[in-house]
Amino acid sequence: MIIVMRSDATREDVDRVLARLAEVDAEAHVSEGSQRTIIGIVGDRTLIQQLPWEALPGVERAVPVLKPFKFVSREFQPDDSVVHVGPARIGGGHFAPIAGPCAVESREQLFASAEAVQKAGATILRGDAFKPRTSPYAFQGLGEAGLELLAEARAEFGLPFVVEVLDPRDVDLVSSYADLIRVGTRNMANFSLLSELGRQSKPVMLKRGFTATIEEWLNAAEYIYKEGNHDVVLCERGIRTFETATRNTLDISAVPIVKGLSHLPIIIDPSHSGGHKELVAPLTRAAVAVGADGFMVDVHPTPETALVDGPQAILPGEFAELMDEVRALAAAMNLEV
Amino acid sequence: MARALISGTGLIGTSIALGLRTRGWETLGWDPNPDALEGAVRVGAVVAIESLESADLRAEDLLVLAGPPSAVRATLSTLDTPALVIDVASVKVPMVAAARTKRFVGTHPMAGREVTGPDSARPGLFRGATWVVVPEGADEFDVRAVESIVSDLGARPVRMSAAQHDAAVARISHLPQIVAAALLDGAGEVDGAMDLAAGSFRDLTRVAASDPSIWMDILTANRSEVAAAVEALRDRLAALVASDDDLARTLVDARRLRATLTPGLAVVRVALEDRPGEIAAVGRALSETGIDLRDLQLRHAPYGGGGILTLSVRSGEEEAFRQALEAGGFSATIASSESG
Repeated sequence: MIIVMRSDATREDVDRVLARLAEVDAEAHVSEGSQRTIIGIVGDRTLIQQLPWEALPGVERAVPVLKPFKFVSREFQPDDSVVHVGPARIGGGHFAPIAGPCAVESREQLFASAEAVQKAGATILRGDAFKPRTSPYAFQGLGEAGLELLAEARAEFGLPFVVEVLDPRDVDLVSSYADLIRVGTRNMANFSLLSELGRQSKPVMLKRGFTATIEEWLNAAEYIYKEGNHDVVLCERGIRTFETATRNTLDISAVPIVKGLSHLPIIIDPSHSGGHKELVAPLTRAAVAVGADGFMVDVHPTPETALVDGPQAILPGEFAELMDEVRALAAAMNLEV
Repeated sequence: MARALISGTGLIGTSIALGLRTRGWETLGWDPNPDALEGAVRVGAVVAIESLESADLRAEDLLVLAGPPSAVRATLSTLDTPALVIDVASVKVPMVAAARTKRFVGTHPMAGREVTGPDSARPGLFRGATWVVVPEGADEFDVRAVESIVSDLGARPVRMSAAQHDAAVARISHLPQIVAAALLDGAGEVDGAMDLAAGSFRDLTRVAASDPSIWMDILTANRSEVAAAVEALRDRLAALVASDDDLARTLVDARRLRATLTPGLAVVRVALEDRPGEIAAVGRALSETGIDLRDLQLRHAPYGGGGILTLSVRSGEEEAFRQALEAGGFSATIASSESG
């Protein structure tokens, strides 16, 4: 259930509601919006619903939430969430270009890519240290050495970085380095990993499972949010369909649907969905136009030698051209890049 | 959630705290003056802490040093914390030189009010203002983080070296302060002169109404640049009275330069009907947008009720205000800006 406070409710009114909730052992999450305060409640539903909430001073109405996800819903927080990733902002009118190599392979490769994307206007660097590969014999990533290189690149170029975590046992390690931690498509429903990420302080990017519905995806975000970490960014990266021309079908309609259902920011990944570099620019333009809060692309100085996903990486020069288009479109959409 | 500790909860510190709070930050506050700290707590800007040391700052926290320059310099000379630290003092070279802590970024918001103290603070104080960010000695990552926070508060970050900043403010801010004091001092030489003083004298000496103890602190902290500016002005004044040609040319140049100053205020005109609640509805648009009203004037229509309400707001806020008024059912137009 959600309790919506009146716009003129005082701090004492809110405290009174919280005190009543504490009496019935319900868990309360307070969201102070620009217009009014909203209190989300988790607890014994029948007990909570019996209480005369609307009789309390300052309470406008008590609303039962029928959706399985509560805290990430628009009802709980009408205003867009703005997620801070170091100096970068995602959501609420801030559009975040995220770029860099798919995997960290070497210092030269990472730094060449980081310098190029920073100059072109990316606000967050990507580059993975742990890679989930279909084959156990393929390159698995540099691990902690890769994280150290990313931290060096951050100091050099001033960009915060996003990195994927695969194993709940690595969360503490990754959290100590990264500015934004990504959950990959294969791990979207790994609930122990999600809960672990909810208990640490760094923001989390949650990719949509390639077979997941939007509701399942938002439920996964709820796992992180519920544990106390409210900085969650969703990433649409394509779903499995019968179409074979692309690796996955980018579900562009997920962006406005998610924006209607949730206050969380949502970005798109045009590299891993299409699987071809030719699709990156058109899908990125579509992302801006459809109202996404950012995009994440693979940029590699020499894609032909890339150890992971070379065919979908674009060149630094191509990224710079794409950024010019993104800035023009973002201006039309009244977004800050 | 991001957390900031504001050390020095006067007008600027409390306004920063209020601005951060509206963007979801947790804000702690401390001030050696218990009245200032209580004031900041009362306006809902901060939760008070016992002392700067008791804060136990973490790497993800922000420490804002918002006291007078001498206090900021003293704090910076001993402070060592993992947190990102900024100051907002109006002199930068001594701060950058004094800082021992690893993650210090000097800054200076070019905004203020004629009044002081936490009760005058407002979250929109910095909207549209220029905010100098000094990158010297700091990581690019931290400088960018500070620029983002400054942008979040509605200001426009501008990078500048500490020396360039101090030389600039000596000429546009510190020298005018001394000149205003000297003008008032000089007017006292002639009996009755003060009684004749009208608009131009009032305009030129407006800043002399500021708190003298704060200004003494600022002027001494920027002593060498202020001395250079005073000396240059003295030479210029002497040259002007020595040659009518120079005087005439300088007056022409000055008029042209004055016109290039950024307009300080923008003017929005609203047509009002003669009916109850009209003024209240305009007030609602103001309070919803959080825009700071600088001046207003009502002209009645010659026949019948109603009239035109002319509102002055900070340059850059006029469009948001116009939209809020239109949303409230008013017909509003933006008039040409006036310099302020």
